Amino acid sequence: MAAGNPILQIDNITLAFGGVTALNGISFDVAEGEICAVIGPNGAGKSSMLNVINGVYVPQEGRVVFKGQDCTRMRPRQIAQLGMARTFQNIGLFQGMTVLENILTGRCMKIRSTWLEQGLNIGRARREEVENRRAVEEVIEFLHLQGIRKTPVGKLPYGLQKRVELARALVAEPTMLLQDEPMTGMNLEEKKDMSCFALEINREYGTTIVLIEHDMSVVMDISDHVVVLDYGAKIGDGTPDEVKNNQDVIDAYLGVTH
Amino acid sequence: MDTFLSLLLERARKSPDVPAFRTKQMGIWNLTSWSQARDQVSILAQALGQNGVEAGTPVGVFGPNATDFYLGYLAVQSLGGIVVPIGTNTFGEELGQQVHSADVEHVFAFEQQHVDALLECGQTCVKRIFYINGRGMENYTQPELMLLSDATEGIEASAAFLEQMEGQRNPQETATILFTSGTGRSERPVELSHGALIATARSIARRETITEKDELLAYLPLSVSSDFLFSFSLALTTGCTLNCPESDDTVLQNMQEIGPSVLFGPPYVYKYIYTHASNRIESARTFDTKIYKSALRAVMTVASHRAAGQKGSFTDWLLFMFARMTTFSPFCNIYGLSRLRLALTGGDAIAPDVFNFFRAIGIDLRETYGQVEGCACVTMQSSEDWNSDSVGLPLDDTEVRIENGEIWFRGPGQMKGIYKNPEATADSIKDGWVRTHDAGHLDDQGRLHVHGQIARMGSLNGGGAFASDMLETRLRSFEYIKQAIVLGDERDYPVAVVTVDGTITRTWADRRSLRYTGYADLSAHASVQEMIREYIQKVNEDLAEDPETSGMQFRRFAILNREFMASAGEVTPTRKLRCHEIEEKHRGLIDALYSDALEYTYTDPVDEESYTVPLGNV
Repeated sequence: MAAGNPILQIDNITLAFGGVTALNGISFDVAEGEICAVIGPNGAGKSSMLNVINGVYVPQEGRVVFKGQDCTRMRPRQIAQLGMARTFQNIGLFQGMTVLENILTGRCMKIRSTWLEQGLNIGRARREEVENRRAVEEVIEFLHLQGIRKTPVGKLPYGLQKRVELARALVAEPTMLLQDEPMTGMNLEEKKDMSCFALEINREYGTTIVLIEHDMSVVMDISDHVVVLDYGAKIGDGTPDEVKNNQDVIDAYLGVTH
Repeated sequence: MDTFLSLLLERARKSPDVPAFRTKQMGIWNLTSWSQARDQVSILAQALGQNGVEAGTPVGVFGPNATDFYLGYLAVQSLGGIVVPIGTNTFGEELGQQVHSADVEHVFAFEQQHVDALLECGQTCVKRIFYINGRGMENYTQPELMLLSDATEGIEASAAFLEQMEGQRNPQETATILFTSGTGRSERPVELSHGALIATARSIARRETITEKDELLAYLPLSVSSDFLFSFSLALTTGCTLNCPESDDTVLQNMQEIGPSVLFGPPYVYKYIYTHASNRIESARTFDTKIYKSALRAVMTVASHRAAGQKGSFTDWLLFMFARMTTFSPFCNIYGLSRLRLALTGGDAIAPDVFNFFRAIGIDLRETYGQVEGCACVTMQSSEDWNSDSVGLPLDDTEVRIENGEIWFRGPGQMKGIYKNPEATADSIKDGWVRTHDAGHLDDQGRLHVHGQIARMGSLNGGGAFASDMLETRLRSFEYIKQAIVLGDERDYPVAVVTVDGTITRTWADRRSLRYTGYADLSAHASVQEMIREYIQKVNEDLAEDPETSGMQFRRFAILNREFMASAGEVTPTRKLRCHEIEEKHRGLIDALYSDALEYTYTDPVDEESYTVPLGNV
């Protein structure tokens, strides 16, 4: 997917927890329709960056601009309503609920009917129920989850749970999708599937994707744009090829004697 | 005399609103009635006609079991075209070979993966590919591609068009080209006429009174001849509803939702249910296991009496009825078998234990015997056949004879010939009789008994007779053994290479707290080997009892580090083993079995990892 104007602008973000500076003056842009990977060694501040973007953490300094709106101080829910969805590093699903029910929860932003209408199953509530189910079914088909529609999530293997989580994020019809380590703990085949899904989502729905990933081969294969963090600072930013040849990045990953 | 088109038009006239096809999509069962089917077929047929399909044109149909593809069959056939069904798991060289040998220029495909497979199969004969789902194909510019909805745009349904076509059709026309499975010989395109398929389906329907109230499940790959007969042909001739599952992973769930009343499945389907149930019982509470086992004993006792033609005691019968009502009626409900009044199997020998199990719990399971050359069904058991040793009587107007131990047949269901290959046709059809390349005999009641492929029968070096098919079937009877291949022709003694069923063996191993990392590790585990050895010893004891088979006792066996796979070219679409390929591929292992070695280390070409396969003496 060809990259367009910046949809997300990270401007000089500084985030500190007490004496620890997790992010130190980070700035980068994410263009509309691209797949942007945020990489870096453990503790580099990648997850913190993602949490700043979707409003879980409020940075001490700097601005996050999403679709032209300053959302630095917005709550996660408000940001979600702007069209941002995310998946988590350690799976955040309702273990006792079925796959179908879990994915349906991703539609809660789309519900306009009141609890009274829903309780009585009248008016908008009825129409919305059909609409939501259809949206869920489309995503189920997209991610090939038909076989486990009615299976409780807790019974599924890890790789499939990750896919269900992605489905739940996707069903909210986001313009931007944040994925925190979507491929950790997966075997080769699952990783391949997950990469294909990321590419297909990007191409089919035009969704901008920001993902954190450790697996370099995956990152280099699928992303258009790579941002490298180390000790809370940005040390690289560019196309996969540029980043691969960046001496700072090589040092950070392979380690150098100081 | 009918063609599939005339059957469709008749259905649409007589019962326009009766459901003809049902396909699960987006979680919902979508119905197509006979009149809707006729309308859609007329649109498709006109679109195909505009794109150059005419009488005698072979058209590939490449996709999953779904209403659209069965309608595609009818559209092609209404123009006099020949349907060449291609299974969704066909790709690469195999696909290229099929496309080439059936002269396929037009293909009716489902989505990107099928289009990709066709573009990459190395054949340039395909001139036009219609595809239904364009997802992911926005950047495809190949001129032969055409979205089906573009092709049908602006065309209106016209029953008159189909009626006009009906007048030009005749039952002798070729309805389809199906490929022989190629377990022994190479794949050959077999031409079957409308008349042959309809006559075979009618013969089955008449025997078993299959009507439009029946429900069928179509889940086998389209390329399999039994799908063409037991799904498409049977639905058209009887008017029953054809149900198509949502995807390959949901077949069992969808079966439970539909509750088919007639079901055809190759032996692996029944073995799967049998193993699945055994596995669940293995991991159940002790009390439940006890109840299940005693119920099973009760039904098996009566079943074995019936198989032997004896009259059991009244108490046995009471227990039998009680066990069926309390245990096996709910059992059938769980697997979607409770409405099943006719279960058919064929294409390969079913393991006797699996057969007996289903008969005992109250499923009317029948063995059929047939080949692509005979529309997939030549003989069929009746409900009185409680034994899996025979495959029953020939269908109506069909005759079977044995010549030099080989089975030959003739009848209304026989093929027209091998497509564009008069020599092969002349070799297969002699004086009106079709050869099967299978050995067998007829018993005093006229029932056929099949011994196996002639090419796979031989003799041991000591001079004793040897039949690998029979030995493999015995090994497969064991729920822990998924696949088995037996060698011994022109060798000193028989050996077996088996693969274990991952699911049930894992449960078994977990119960015994065995340590293993994965399938390969588990299959090489000493305890698993010991369990398999004990079973093979039991088979040997059975073999020893009969003087005819006592020379065929196993001496050595190996448990492979993975299952035989279709993607490695080792298994056919109906999951029969391709013996030649396996023998070629695993030559080193087989040679090791004929030495004194206790293990064999090799690099598996599938994942290029090194494995050590332990070799066991029985």
